[in-house]
Amino acid sequence: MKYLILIVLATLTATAFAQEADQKEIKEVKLDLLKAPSSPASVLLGFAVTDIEKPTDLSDFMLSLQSASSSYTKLPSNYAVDIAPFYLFRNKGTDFSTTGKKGLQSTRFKDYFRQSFVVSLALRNPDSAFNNFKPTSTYGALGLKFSIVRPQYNAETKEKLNSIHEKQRALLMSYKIGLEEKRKSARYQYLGIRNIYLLDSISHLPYLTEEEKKSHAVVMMDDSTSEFSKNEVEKSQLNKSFKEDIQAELAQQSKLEADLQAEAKTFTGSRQGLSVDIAGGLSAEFRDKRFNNSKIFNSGVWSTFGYNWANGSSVLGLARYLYNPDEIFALDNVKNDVANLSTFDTGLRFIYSKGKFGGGAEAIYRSILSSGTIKPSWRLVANADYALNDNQKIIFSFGRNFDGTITKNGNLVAALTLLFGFGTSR
Amino acid sequence: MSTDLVKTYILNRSSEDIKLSLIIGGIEQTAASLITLGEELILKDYPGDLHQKIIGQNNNLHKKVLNIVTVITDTAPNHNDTDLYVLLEGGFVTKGYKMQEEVQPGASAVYTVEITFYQF
Repeated sequence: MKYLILIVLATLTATAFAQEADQKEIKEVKLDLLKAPSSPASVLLGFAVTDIEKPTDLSDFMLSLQSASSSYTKLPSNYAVDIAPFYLFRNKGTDFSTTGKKGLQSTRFKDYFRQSFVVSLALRNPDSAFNNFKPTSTYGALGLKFSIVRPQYNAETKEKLNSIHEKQRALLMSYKIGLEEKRKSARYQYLGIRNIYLLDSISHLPYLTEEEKKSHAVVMMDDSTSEFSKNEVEKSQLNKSFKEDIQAELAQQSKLEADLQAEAKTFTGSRQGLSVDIAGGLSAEFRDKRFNNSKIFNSGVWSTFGYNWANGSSVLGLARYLYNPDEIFALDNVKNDVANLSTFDTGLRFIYSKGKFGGGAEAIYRSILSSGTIKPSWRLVANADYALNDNQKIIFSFGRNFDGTITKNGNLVAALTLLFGFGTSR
Repeated sequence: MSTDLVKTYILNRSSEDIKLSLIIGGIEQTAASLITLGEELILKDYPGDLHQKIIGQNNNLHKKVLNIVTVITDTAPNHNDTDLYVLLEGGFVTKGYKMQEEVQPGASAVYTVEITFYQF
């Protein structure tokens, strides 16, 4: 009976640990990092919230889901994913911290090119015939985006970073001195000496080559049940408790950590100055939603440039070339025609953001380069967004779209979009 | 996940450099590190990532202890995640260790790393 109880307890404990571990895993996969989408792929497929994008908001991975305004009752039909590939290979030298020498404060082209480089993928499944999109087809797009001129941190941001760094210096010194003192404890010293003894024991084994000794040591280190590993874990736990003691002692002596937190909490990373972004991409139509029956839908390259003020306002310009092969268009009293259309867009956007609120307006004029029979068109959109919390944002956009180029009249665009961002440990 | 790491790094019998990298995460966090090797101060208040810093050679690091203290302060407007990836190269095998902690908005996570070098 005693053994049965022990087995049940062991099983329950194991289950509890497993659940706790699972919960930790689940906690790590969370939605966060919401920012306005900067996806060139969604621009090509015509469901970007805005055509003129602000300098890239950094995210290692961002997912955007959209529904047309008429279909909130079902799953989103448009998807866009942005990936920052250099974030995934940070050990190759790309620094995404604020104060690093090659970090986000860097003014070197090589650094901010890598930091701003985004690959985006988008998928559109039209619910109904809209512009040139057919409900029987699926559309996919691949886009790239990067900065060639990035505005610098403004004076307030630089001042705040300096102040944060100074406080971190003081904190580091306090922890260094505190840890050195506390690590003199008999138990901590013993654990270190004991592990060296265990390694020496392997080192003194006769008849073993150097490689065999190393392999033995690695096996011992990787075995979580070995005395060696347990000693290392205990030392880690001791360090944790030492830190807690130092933190408590520091809190009694000064407000250093509290001041640091108050300062960091209000950090916005605002930038000021000129910005020039380059973006481009290619999209394909998969007819009958079959991947072996596809054609190029459109492609383009564009630049977004402008000036960003310290208060969060920006004025941005757009120059965009788009190529649309086999475009079907209708003209008054003329039957539908098919042609390869090249368009050139010029645009202007004003952006204002303060706290959780963001808003602005954009106007784009579209010239048709490859045809004299189609009249130029224009788009005028105002949009506003509000961050509901850390990872949810409502975006409202309202205006006239380009549709005059292909249908007879302009189209009223009204869309409500909910965006989520996924992050790693961003 | 813990913010404190104690590990042993196996060296070769060679004069090859041992390199240390510290990668700070996530995006837009602010960090500073203090690194000592025994009594010797290697880097003081080093900001951001550290890439392949040579801290010695295989032949002269036996039984020496490398200590790192890194403070990562949450300055990212979009998340509160901090992480530190420690990479050691040049010895018997390349070793990488990741630690992470989610903090309160604006708070700091203090990471400690202790690496003991051993040569057979």
